[in-house]
Amino acid sequence: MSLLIASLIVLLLTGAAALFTNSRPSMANRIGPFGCVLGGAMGIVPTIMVFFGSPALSFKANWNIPYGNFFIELDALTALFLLIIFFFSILLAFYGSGYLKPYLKTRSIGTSWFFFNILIVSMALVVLARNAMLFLIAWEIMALSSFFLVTFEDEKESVRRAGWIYLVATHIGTALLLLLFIYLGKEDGAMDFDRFKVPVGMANMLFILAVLGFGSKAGFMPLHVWLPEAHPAAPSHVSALMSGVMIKTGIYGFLRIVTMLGGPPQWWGIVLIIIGVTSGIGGILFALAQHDSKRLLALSSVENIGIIALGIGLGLLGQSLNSPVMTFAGYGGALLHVLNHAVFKGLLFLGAGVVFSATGTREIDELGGLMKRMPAVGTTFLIGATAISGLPPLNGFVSEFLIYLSAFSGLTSWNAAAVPALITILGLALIGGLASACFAKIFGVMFLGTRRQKYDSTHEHPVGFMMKLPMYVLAALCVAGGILGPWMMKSMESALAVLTKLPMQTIGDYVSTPLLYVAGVNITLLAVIGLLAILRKRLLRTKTIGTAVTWDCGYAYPTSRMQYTASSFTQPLCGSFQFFLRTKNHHHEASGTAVFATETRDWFLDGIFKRMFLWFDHRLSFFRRIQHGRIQLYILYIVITLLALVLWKMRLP
Amino acid sequence: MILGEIKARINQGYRTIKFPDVEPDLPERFRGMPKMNCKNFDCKKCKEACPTGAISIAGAARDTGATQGAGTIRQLKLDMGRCIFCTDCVLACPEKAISFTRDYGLSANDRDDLILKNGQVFEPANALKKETLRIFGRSLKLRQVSAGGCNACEMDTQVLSTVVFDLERFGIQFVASPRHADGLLITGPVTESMRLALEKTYEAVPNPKIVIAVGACAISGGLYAGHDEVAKSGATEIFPVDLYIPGCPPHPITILDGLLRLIGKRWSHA
Repeated sequence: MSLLIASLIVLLLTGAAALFTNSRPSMANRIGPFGCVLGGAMGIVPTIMVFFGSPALSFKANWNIPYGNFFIELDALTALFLLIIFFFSILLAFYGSGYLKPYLKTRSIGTSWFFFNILIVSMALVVLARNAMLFLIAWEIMALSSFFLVTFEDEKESVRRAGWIYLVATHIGTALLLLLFIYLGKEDGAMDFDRFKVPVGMANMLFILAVLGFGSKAGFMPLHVWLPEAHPAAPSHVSALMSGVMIKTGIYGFLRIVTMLGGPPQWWGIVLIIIGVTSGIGGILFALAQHDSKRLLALSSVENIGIIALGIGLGLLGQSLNSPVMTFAGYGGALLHVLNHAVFKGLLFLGAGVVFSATGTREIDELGGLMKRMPAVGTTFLIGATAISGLPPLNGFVSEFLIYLSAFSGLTSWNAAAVPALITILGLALIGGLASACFAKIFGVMFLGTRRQKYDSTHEHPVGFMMKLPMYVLAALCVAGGILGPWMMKSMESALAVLTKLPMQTIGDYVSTPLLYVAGVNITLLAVIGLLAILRKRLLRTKTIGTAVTWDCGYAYPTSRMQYTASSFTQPLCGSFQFFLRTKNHHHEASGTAVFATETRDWFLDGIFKRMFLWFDHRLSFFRRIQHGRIQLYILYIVITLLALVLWKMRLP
Repeated sequence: MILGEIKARINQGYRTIKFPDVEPDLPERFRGMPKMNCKNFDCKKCKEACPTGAISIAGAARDTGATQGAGTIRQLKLDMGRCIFCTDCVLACPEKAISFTRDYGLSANDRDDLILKNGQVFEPANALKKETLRIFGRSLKLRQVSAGGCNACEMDTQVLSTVVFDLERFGIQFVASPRHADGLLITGPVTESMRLALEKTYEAVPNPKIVIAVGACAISGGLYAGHDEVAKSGATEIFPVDLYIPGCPPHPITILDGLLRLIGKRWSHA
């Protein structure tokens, strides 16, 4: 435990040191990442030990804040999430130091690293905290530090807007959590998690509060609106951290609270399955229609959170129906997908960041042919894209397989689970197909074909090894995750035991045999791919290999504009979902060249939230009379309040 | 709907001709291999009548002047690569020395083989060389390019894919992309507008590749030879051609015969 606390202190101190060396950016760009690597390495040691079955560690210290207790605990569930946090702290430190290099002269690098380190500490505290005050404070610091990271390029109007939407969304969530914790602590008058009690008859309401409060962080549709705004605006290593890791704290918080609420009724699971299917299909459809690489990836995070929600929903349903296979496979799939999504989404965001660094654009329709220019980055990106589409033999397939397994076990008997399980299977199949199309699009348009137009060369920066190394590591993990499925599941047994409160031995038996088959299939597939590659090389050894232009039907003036664009590639699919996507077509003629473009805006944001807030703004304008910015008046309010309080206190016996 | 189609199909019966095992049923007006039996080489009426300049007379008085060597062979030549089978020469000849037979085997491997000489035997096309034949003998995929053609040759080529000729039973198929093709089948005189497209298509066919020129235009420019906007002598000028199939247009049987000779499935006059 002391090593863990020391690691948090190291992260804090180096963050502060980076802030103080702000005037010497290259120094700050070394201190910040150094702290992340050192702190991450120190913290990951006890985390791994607990993750692989050591007894839980806890630490309690008195704190002056009312109801506050510095009560942290490292159990297996926490360890799973903490493992991701510390692992990414180390990886992204390498990447971030390379990514920020071009900004050394123009931006305050020290501040950025300060908030980055703070964000890691706060995320670690969120998953460690066993006291509501500590949890909420860490939660709030996490929200604020990531807000400042998002607004890195704050001179851009779009970035400020994104930051603003994020800030509002996260605080709505926090407000609901506050309510949730107050209810839970009311009974015993204490805010420690182990003393929480569910007031009689309140479990359902608390469940809804948890879904909304944590769901706004995790990105459940329709609370996802901040994700596609904030993630593209942030620097890429921050996007990777936010999309791969931070939104998972929402999942963590939800799981942690749900275990306190007692045995779940069936409809809890059904609610989560509906949320999962909506987020999954909605998220990937919006992603399919995007042309901004990082916005696409952010919306695909909504989809993956949907898949995780499906797993949790099946787990809850299994618990309420006393079906252990459904429970373990559902929760297991969800937890494994948390891990896997962090790996491949991190990889993809880092890839998009490398491309942005190298070309200065995130608009995928301006790219093309990058496979020739950066084959290593292209290959790792392809691995990430295959993994996120849930295709064998990579890690995404294993976790989605578990969720399928859970759903199919629900189908075997005609009970309350049959219909939700069927919905899950159909939904997950549709999500998988659309995800494949979506990632075929982003990989094909960015990396294949030929260069579309001259990039603005002033934005071009060389991509150093420091930035590529984390991508290689993550790509290797994608492959390893496909093979090591059964062993991953085995090491997660203790985390599952925390969730389901059932003995560990039984957990493995239900899912280990099917997972062994999956691993066998994956290994065979990898071997076949390898053999085919060797065979191809051997067959081509004696042949001359020529290169020629793409067949253009003999056209006299082919240009790179004639390639498939992001819009045209997905037009048939997006067209059939037009009722949901509401894509607008723009075309205009500029100097003899006709330009066609599609635009798919998030109508949840424009249509629902904007209207809702405008309505509130209109209704609540009355309060402007007492809130109009005169400081004297505010002091008067405070004085009146104090007086009232004093009088009230004096009147009491 | 589909039942109706099946019924129609049954009613139609088996339509594929037995060629090459059975001789084809050629139309009455079919014009095949020209035959010349000229004795009066100074007449030149046929040469003057020919619209494409396919007929020439070697050692004619005007060509060699007054000094005719004793060794000079005076003979009438008819270039099938230019001939449009119009029969103007037949009508012009006062001695009826030129006629068109019903021999449909007109294809040749060499451009010079197409030039028929008075009284000499025509040398029909041979199969590909052993190594190339090993690759293409059982499966030959062709990309057709109409390089400014009038669509007559194209129609007679296309008809080979129908049930009547059923080209695919010989392993020959027309494909959409040159990337999938083993060779080009060129029709038309190669206009300037189509020249680049044709060259690009040729480039796009992977090696080893073959070229087949079908029709008088593709072989020599035909009626359009000498025009500013077409290649000087059709596709022959641009690529090495492996098979010439003369005609204007050649009958589908002529084309099929040429293709079969090329892949070694037919080797003598039937």
